[in-house]
Amino acid sequence: MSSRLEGVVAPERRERSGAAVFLVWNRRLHYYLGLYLLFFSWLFVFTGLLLNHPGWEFAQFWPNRVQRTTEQQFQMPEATTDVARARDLMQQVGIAGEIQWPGAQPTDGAFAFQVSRPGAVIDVKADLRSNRVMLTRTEVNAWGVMHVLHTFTGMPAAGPRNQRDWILTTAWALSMDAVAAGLIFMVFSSYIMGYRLKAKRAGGTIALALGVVICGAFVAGLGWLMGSRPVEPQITSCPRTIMSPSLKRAVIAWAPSGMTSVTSSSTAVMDGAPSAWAGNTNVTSGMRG
Amino acid sequence: MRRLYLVTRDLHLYVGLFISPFILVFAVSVFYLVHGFAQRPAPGPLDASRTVDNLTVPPDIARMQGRARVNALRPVLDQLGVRGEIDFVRHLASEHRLIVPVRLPDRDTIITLDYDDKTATVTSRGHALADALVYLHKMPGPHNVDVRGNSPLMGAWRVLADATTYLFLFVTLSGIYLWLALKAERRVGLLLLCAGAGTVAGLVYVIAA
Repeated sequence: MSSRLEGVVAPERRERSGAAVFLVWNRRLHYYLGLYLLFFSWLFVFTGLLLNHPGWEFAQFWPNRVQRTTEQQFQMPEATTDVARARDLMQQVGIAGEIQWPGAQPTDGAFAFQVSRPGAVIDVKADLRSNRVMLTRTEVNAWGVMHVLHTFTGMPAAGPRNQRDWILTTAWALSMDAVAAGLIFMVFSSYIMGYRLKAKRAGGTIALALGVVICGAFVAGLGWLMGSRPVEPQITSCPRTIMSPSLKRAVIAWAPSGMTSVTSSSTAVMDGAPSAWAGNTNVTSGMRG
Repeated sequence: MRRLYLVTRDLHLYVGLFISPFILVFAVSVFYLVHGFAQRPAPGPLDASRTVDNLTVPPDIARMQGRARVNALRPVLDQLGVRGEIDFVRHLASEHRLIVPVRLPDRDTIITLDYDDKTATVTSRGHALADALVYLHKMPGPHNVDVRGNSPLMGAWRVLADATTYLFLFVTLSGIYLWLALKAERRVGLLLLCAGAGTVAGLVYVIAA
């Protein structure tokens, strides 16, 4: 090739190779990540199925649990914080796991907490006066382990006091993050690869559009399609509750047309059902077992 | 064999593209669940509510339990124009009231039903996209099994969630076949497969042992 053309051709060749390199590595990373995350993905997919089908007989674990209680002597921990004290105690009695604090400590002066890990939950109740600790250990089978692995993040819903405090929980949580991030990358890399296949572009677009429409309907559309609308508005005014001017303006702005008058009883709702909003499952209907 | 490869490749592509939005729902919601962002929020002080009376309420609603009560409440919800999945029912017997949270992925409604006076107070609030994703990830779930799936929404999502997992398994198996067809990538792929298996096994062993 003449030297006059080299300066013109070379940048284009570099640009093409840049794009080509990107496409090659996009494809490679798609199946490299897929292969590395394969067993992680299978684990979470299968455990997700188990969680969504608690009635599957072959995967029952709670009726088969083993419970045993032991007592041990311990040396008073010198730590000043509850977490450090609990860790010292756990080390003395040879247990490890994620610490869960109860809503309130026992009234008899005992130091109580729970240690959990996939497959075992240990209730620890230490008498700080007699230096004796009672361990109630509940162990489940492999199916129980699998159930917990899917949700073992160390971040239970109840209370700000319970935070992740075991390094292996952090490792497992990071692996969950990695699997999720890997799957997101694989999805977008598949979009690029699918777009590059011109012969398959139409079919791929239809498949993707179908998935987006169905999934999107559930995520956002159903609230719009199925949102709360009074079928036969029969609304009364309730003289017991006084509505502030700002609240009344907000209610009138929100209320659909056709409503003759609107009561404000949000305070009554909050007083009557704060636990419902907080996700409390202290229910009288629908609890399993 | 070539035909099998081409068919498998096409199915891997089309099925993968179809389930990709569902994969994104589950994957994105993982970050909220793992890092504790998925706490159920408390209602704001200015949530509007409406009270409706002269409802037709089943006479023995207070004595019902579980799914029977949930099914009996559905016509009441229809009178109130409320749609969605009944999460659970809380009975305040001394006050003759039922607290009924009704959930859509992007909307939460609380119905306080006085079954003696035949009145109900309805309070509703919207949820952010992240809350909707987290809700869909968790549903139907292992809790309140007796009442779960009481709405067409949740019945359909239960099927879709299952379909996503089975189709995902197909995509992984077809992906393995497509990788095996790439002779040049077999060694590296096998190393990565073994590394991934070892990582999973090692982590599970140290966590659960």
